[in-house]
Amino acid sequence: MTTPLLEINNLNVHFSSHGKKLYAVSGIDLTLNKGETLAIVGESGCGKSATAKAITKLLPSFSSRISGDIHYEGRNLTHLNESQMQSIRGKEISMIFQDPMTSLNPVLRIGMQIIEGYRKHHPGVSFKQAQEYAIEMLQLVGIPNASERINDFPHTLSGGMRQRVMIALALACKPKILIADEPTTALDVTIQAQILNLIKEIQQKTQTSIMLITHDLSVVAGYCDRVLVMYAGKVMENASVYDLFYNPKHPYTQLLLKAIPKINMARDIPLLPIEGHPPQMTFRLEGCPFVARCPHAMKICKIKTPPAKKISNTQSCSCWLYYKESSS
Amino acid sequence: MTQAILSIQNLKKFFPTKSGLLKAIDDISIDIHAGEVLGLVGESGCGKSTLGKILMKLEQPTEGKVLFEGNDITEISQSSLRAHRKNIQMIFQDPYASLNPRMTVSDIIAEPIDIHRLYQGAQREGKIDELLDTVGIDVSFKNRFPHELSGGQRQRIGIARALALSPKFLVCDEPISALDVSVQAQIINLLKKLQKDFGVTIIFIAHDLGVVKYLSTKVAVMYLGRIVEVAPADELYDSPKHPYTQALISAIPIPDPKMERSRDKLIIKGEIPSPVNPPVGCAFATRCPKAQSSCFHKRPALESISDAHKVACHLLSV
Repeated sequence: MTTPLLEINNLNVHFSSHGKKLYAVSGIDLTLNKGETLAIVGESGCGKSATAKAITKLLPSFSSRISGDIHYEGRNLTHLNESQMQSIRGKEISMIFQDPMTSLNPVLRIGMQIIEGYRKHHPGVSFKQAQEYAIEMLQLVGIPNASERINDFPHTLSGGMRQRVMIALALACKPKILIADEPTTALDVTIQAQILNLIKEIQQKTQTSIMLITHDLSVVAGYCDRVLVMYAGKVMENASVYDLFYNPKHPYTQLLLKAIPKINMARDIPLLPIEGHPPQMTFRLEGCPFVARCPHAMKICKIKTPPAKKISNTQSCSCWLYYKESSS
Repeated sequence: MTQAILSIQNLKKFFPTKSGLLKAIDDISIDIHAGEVLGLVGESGCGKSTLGKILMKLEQPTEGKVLFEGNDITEISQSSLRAHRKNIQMIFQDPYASLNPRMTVSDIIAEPIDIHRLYQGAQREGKIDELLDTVGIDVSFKNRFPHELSGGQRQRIGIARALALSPKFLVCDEPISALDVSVQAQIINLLKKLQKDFGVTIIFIAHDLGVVKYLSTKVAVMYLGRIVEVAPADELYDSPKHPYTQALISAIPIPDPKMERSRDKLIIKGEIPSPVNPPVGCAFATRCPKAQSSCFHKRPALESISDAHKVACHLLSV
C-alpha cells in the first residue's frame, strides 16, 4: 500500500469563548490517498468544518486550540508557522467554501482574485501571463466569454457562476488536495449536478485528492470513494462508499440511512427519525457520543469510548457492538 | 370531482426593479382540492415562495384571482383579514428567525388564540397542552424560550402555532430545509400525521424532490414564474413529460452508489434566465435540449395530456 497523501492522527480542536470550552473535534484519525475522494458526513455541529479548517489552519488562533498530528508529505502541518503555512495553503491544499455569495472579495474583479493568488505562489510570472492563465482557468470551469468575464465583479454573477469562480480560484495553483466544504449546499439541484460533475471531471484530469464535506448522503453516493461518518466530534465509521450504503455497521450510520426519504419509497411507510439530540459538546465526553440515541446502547457505551474496530480492509467502525468481550 | 378549496386563476405578480419588471409569477392557474397535499417544486427564484406569500396575503398580486372556498382573497379588506388568517396558516423555513426570542413557548403558541379570543383561562391552557402534545413536545417546555430549544423543536413550535386556529389550509414554505437529516424525518412524519388526522390541505413548497414525492399527492413544477407541469405525484416522478421536469428529476442524487453511478444523468446546461427579462416563448427554451424554433417564439399553454396531468410544452401538444 502506498503512503497516504494526508494522514491525521488524534486531531483535537477545542474552542473557548467567554470562559466556556467547546470540544468540536475529539481525537479523530483520517487518511486521504492520492486521487481519492473522501467524504466527511455528519450533521451540523459534528466537527466536519472544524476538521477542514484545522487542516488549512484557518481557525482563529486566539479562540481555538489544535492538537494532534496532520502529516502532509513528510511535514507536520500543526508545527508550521503562519508564513510556512501560506506557502502550502492555496498552492498545495486549497479550499472551496459553502457560500459562494460571501467567499469572494466583493470589491475585486474575479480575474484579479485568481491572478492575485497565482502570482503569490508563482513570483516569476508576469501579470499578463497570469491574466491569460486566469482566462484559461475560467474557461476550464465553464464560464462563457471568460476573456470578458474576468473583469466582472462577483455581484454580477449568479450563485452557480460564483461557485465556478471559487473552483477556478481553488484549482489555479493545481493543488494536491482540494477541500470542498459543502460546495453545493447553497445551489439548486440542476446547478448542483453541474458543479459536482465539473469537480469530478477536473479531478480525473489532474489527479487531485478531494475531501468533500457534506451533510447530504445522496451526494456522497454518486461522487465519493470513501466515507467518514462523524458525530459529536468523533469518527463513527470509516468505510468505502459501497460498504457504507449496503452494509453500514455503526448504529448511527444505519439510522441515518433510514431517515432519508428515497425517491422510490412507498408513501405509507413512515420515515424513521433518530429520536433525541446530539450531545452538548461543552465538556469532554466520556463513552460513545451516540449512546443517548442508540437503540443498542449497553452499559459500557456510557463509560468508555469505543476505539475504531477494523471490520474489513475497507471498513472500520467505532462501536462496542463489534467487540466480543464487551458483552461480558 | 368536488369543488376546489383553493383555486388560483391567471395569477400574476410583478415587482418593479431598476432594470424593469421582475416577473415573479407569470400567469399561473391551479386548483387544489380539500385534503390534497400539493408539492410545489422549482429552483430558487422560480416564484414558489411568492406564491405562498400571496396565499397568506403577505403580498398583493398584480393580476388574477385566488378563490378560497369561492371567495376571492385578493379582495379581502384589511378589516376582514383576521378571519382569513383563521383559514390559512403558514409554517416558515427558518425556525430560528420565525419565533419571537423574547416570548415563551406557551405565549408563542397562544398568541393566535388570544388575538382571535378563542379560549380563556383553563381552556386556553388546555388548548396549549393539546397543541404541544400534537406536535410531540413535552408540556414542561411551556415556559422555555426559543433559544433553549433545538432546531427541530423550534420547528414543532412553529407548527403548533400554525395549528392553534385549526386552519383548513397550511402553507409550508421549505419547512425542513434548515434542519438536519435526522430531524427532518421527525418533521416530515409530523406533517404527514397532521394531514391524516386533521385532513388539512397543504401546500408544501420545497426544492428537495425526494421529500416532496414522499409527502405530496400532487406536484406542480415551476420554472421562471410559470407552472410547466402538474400531475399526481407518482405519475410525475414515473413519467415526467416536460423536459425541465425530466432534467430536475434526473438531477436528484440517489442515496445508493450502484444505482447512482449506473444511470444516465440528464444534466442541463446553462442557468435560469433572469425573471426581469424572461425568454419570449417557452421559459425553458434557452436550456432545453429538445428546443425547436417554435419554442422561442410562442409561449406554450398548460394543456391536459390525461385526466390530471397537465404540461406546458410545444413538443407534447399536437
